[in-house]
Amino acid sequence: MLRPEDGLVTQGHAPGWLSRHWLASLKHLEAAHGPQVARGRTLARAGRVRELWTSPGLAGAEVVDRTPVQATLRVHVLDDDQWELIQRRLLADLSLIASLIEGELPRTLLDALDETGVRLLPSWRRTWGTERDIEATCDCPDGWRPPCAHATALYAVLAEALEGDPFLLFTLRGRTSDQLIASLRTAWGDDPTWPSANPNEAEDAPAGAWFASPEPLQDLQLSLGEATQPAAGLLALGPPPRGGEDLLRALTPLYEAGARAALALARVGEPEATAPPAPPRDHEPRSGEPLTER
Amino acid sequence: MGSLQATWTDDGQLFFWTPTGELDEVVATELPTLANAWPRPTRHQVAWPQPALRRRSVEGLALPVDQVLPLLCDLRQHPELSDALRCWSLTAWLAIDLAARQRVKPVLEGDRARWRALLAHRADRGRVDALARALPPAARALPVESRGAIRLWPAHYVVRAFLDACVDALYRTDTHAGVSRGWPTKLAEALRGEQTVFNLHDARLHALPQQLQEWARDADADALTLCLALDLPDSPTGTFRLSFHLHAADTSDESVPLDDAWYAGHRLQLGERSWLHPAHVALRSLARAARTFAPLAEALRGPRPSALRWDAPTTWRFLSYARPLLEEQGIAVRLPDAFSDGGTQRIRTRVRLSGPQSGPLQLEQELNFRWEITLGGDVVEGERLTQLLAQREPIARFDGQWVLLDPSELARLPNGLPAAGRLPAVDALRAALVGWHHGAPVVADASLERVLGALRSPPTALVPVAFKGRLRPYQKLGLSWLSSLGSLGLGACLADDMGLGKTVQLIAHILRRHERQSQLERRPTLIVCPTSVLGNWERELLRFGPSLGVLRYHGPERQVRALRKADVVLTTYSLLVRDYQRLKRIDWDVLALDEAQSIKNPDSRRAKCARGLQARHRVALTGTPVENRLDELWSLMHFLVPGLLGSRARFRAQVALPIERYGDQQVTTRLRSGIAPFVLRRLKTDPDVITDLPEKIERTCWTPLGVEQAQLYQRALDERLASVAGHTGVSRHGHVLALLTSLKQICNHPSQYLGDDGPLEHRSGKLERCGDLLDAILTSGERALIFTQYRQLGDRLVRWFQERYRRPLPFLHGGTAQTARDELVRRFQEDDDAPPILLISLRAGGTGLNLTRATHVIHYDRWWNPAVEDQATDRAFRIGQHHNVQVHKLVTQGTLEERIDALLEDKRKLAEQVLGNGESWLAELDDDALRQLVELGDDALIEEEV
Repeated sequence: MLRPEDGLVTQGHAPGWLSRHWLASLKHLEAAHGPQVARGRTLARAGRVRELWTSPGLAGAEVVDRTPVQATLRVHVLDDDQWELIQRRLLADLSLIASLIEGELPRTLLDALDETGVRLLPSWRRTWGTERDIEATCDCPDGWRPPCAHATALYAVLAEALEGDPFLLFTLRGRTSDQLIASLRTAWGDDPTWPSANPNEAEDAPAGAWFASPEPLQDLQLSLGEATQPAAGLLALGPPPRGGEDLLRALTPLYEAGARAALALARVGEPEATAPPAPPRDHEPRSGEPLTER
Repeated sequence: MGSLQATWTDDGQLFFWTPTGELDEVVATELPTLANAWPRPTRHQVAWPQPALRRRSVEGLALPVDQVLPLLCDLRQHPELSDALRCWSLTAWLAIDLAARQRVKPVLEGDRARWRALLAHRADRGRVDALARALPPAARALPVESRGAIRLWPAHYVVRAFLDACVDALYRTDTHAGVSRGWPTKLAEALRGEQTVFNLHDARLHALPQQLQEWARDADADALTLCLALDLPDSPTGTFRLSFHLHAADTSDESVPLDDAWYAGHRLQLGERSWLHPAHVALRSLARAARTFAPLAEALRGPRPSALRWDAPTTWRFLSYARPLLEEQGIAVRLPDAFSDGGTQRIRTRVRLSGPQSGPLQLEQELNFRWEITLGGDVVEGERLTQLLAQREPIARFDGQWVLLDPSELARLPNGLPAAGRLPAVDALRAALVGWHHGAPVVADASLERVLGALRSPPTALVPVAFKGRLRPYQKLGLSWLSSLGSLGLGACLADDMGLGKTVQLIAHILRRHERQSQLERRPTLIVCPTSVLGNWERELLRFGPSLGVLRYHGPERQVRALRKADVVLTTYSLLVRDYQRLKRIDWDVLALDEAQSIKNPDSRRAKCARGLQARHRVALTGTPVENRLDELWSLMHFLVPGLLGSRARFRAQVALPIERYGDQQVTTRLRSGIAPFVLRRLKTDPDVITDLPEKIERTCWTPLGVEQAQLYQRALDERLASVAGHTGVSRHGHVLALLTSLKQICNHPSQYLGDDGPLEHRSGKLERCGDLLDAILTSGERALIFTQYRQLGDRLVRWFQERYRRPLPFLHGGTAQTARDELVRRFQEDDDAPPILLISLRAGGTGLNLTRATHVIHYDRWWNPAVEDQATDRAFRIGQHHNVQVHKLVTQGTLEERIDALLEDKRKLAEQVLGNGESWLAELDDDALRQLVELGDDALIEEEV
């Protein structure tokens, strides 16, 4: 079986509690769909799933079996009352949203919501009246009763996607992260319809001199110097995305080398500048100024 | 170069082109280094505004950013750049600055990883704004098809795109990543070299591009920022309170408690500005801060956090560990006043420098210093010090209050204790001037304060009685300044503009020192100057300081034994080197270097010899602005105050290079404050000075004769005096005038006298001096008139000027037609590109010419009738009405010119009545008087020492 070049990789990570819970749900299928589940897992592990997409209540991908097929999972979306409950729980304890924003789905949230009857994690077994919690469709010619192996392969890959993006679970349940934040804002009295930023648009050519500066500019008053700490650039960005703790270590040498390259270019024309460390830069704030400003 | 344009293209290249199409020529002449490396020209479409905005295909050269960066850096110092290139050059420097400070972030665009510039600080955003406002439309004239018409990308967008491309190019250094497994490594791989593709085919990384963007978003946005404010506990056993506020990232002036954000709705108003979604911003900031410092997470437990309480150890961990990290992220931390930098409940360390215990400061000696720990402005010592050093916690109770015992302050102390020691006086002086020593602030004791005070505002020195003349107010100031530095034993560089009287100020200084020294203390003063002005110094000293015994130490007959007995010794730079051993044996009082730029090369023999002499006070006189030539400055300061600017290599690397290459502001300021007490420079245009200056400053430039001239002069004398003696009456009259005319011509230039067409340089002292004057005038960008009586000399001057300066010298003489005359005058007055020097040979009575743009007048030779002279220069040419004018009269020393000049000075008042309108009065002199007048003095010839 040949793996497509852009097939999704699902190995090499320690499974978190979320993906374990997610995958555990597959056991509910094994009784009736054992071979599909097994083949689905195999397909997922072999990287045969590609072009994963998600939208409220839906997830889909192309699975490359003997031929490429399109598999889709439809997840039951929560109703407004249930979303209300979720929102209230999030607002009561800001550390929950904080965790979400910082890339982690707090277990306590799931447990707390479970107690109130809102089940964020979908299950193959559960039904909502006549509707299943998870409904699978696929255009494969295999003729299996759904869920087919391709749908379970998609389901398996989603486990990893969820680990990387905690908001995905909310998306599957009906609201994207933007919508979630927007509804929270409403609770704070904020108006979610206000736009955040304007995209770049080309503008009309200005009137006036074409080759002359509209406003004169003498100098920029630069004071080139080295960063105050070894990896100052990384520090300025704050904590990296979750799962990226290694990211700081990976990038630190690149930051330092880049800064050195810049300084070398600045000092071109100068023989070995084996200069001792420069005298302290005047960053000491003058007394009386409580806030430090660079 | 002014026509070379550079336009940013969408594929990350800078496209060089010229509107008029001679790209090859421009590149070959202005950018020869690059001419070889240019790729083949290509055609590109640029937006062109005429007749209406349209596309135009032009030929040009497109270069990717990484090749263009070094070129743009070098261009910054280029005098003529198109506005577009100037902007790109400055943008390139900003990119380098951002890259050096690591203000960059990695982003993922699709499957490509790139570095982008991070504009976190207000100053940087301001710079980008300034660049965007200054960017000419041509620089972003890439036509963009949008909404059915041709449009351009906004300037802001283009500047940022360029910055991004630059930092991306700089940061791809092929350095290896810090870890070797996992997706961070792969991301680093895509960021370190040519390869930019980051394979996202890991299901877990599905949301990574978004997350990376979030990671850098707060650092980059024009944000509302979180501010954490710390308050001291109310009681000895209380807890520290940390409250949360929001404020605009670029000003800390107005802040609101976080509560306002929770209840603000969709918009928060702060002063005149407002922000959207403040609660979301607050939440994001808090969440991020909590990840940096875990105890902050407590605050998130509630629905609307506003404050926290901590004990002392946690507070200290917050201040020491978390605060710098949070501030790097843009979250401000406000300390209670008592703990702030000037706070009374916070220890500081500092260095107390002591001045000399007695007598003037001697740079070779050592001075005492002591480390001190202060709390609330008082030094902590004795029992209190022991108690303080015994404290374990950085935030503790001490003396009944909460104090901050910052370990980083204590770490500055050698061995953790406030010790004492000694350091060289020059280092102490530098530290005191700059305000820092080994990372700690500096205070000076009373003795050193006195030195510093005297440096900052020198006490007024009275003009010595023996000084014959009047000093103008700014010159009195110069005298006080010289005196003050002299009594402190510190070198002085008097760098006043030409014509402001450096000579008289030095003479007054020498006289004053004499006045205040006892007979026993007196030592000779040595003045070293260029050969051409030796005579000048002699005469100035005679005029203003006649009581001083002056020895001209020059020529094969020079008297070594007379050195010690003189008050002032005048010598040249070449003799400084030749007779160094002899000069070295004397302990000089003042050692003054005239035209001190002669020692601008610190390795030259003259510089070394100058430094090797012993003197109580070293003075340098120079007319050039020292600050602009840093190598020269170092050499001068090394002579005047050795050690002040450190070693030459260190100075080059840490001071000269940053200033010359990219105009570093901080370094410039530090340098200025370091040398300010030792350099005094006034300009003619200074408001303090300009009111003191008369409209017309006249001075006599004494020039020597060249060897050939001296020979010709003596021969003419011998021949013609004899023939004069043998005549009477009208024929005598004729012979006298012929004699005088010949001598005058010889003094001007042998070539004029002999009528030859030979070489002009190095044959006439006056011509040399004229050249020196013109050099200075041309360098300072001023305009000058040269007057001569003689058409033949004028012609020769034109030839000489062309050879020396490779520019034309316009000559206005009797034979110039009226229209040509008018044109010459008009160009001189109005045309900026016209030659700045105008040569005039006209007798008075010509129609009034308006030449008010001239600030210098050189009388190469003179009419010997003051009325005629004045009339010619002042009234006819209306000089001096708009600016001060300096008039230089070239007078050959030791010849008839000098003596007639003296006579004229005496008789100036009687001039009109006695002398009439011509020069015939000279012919009335009898034989003896005539001989005395025309004799060749023995100081007329000053040989150049080889």
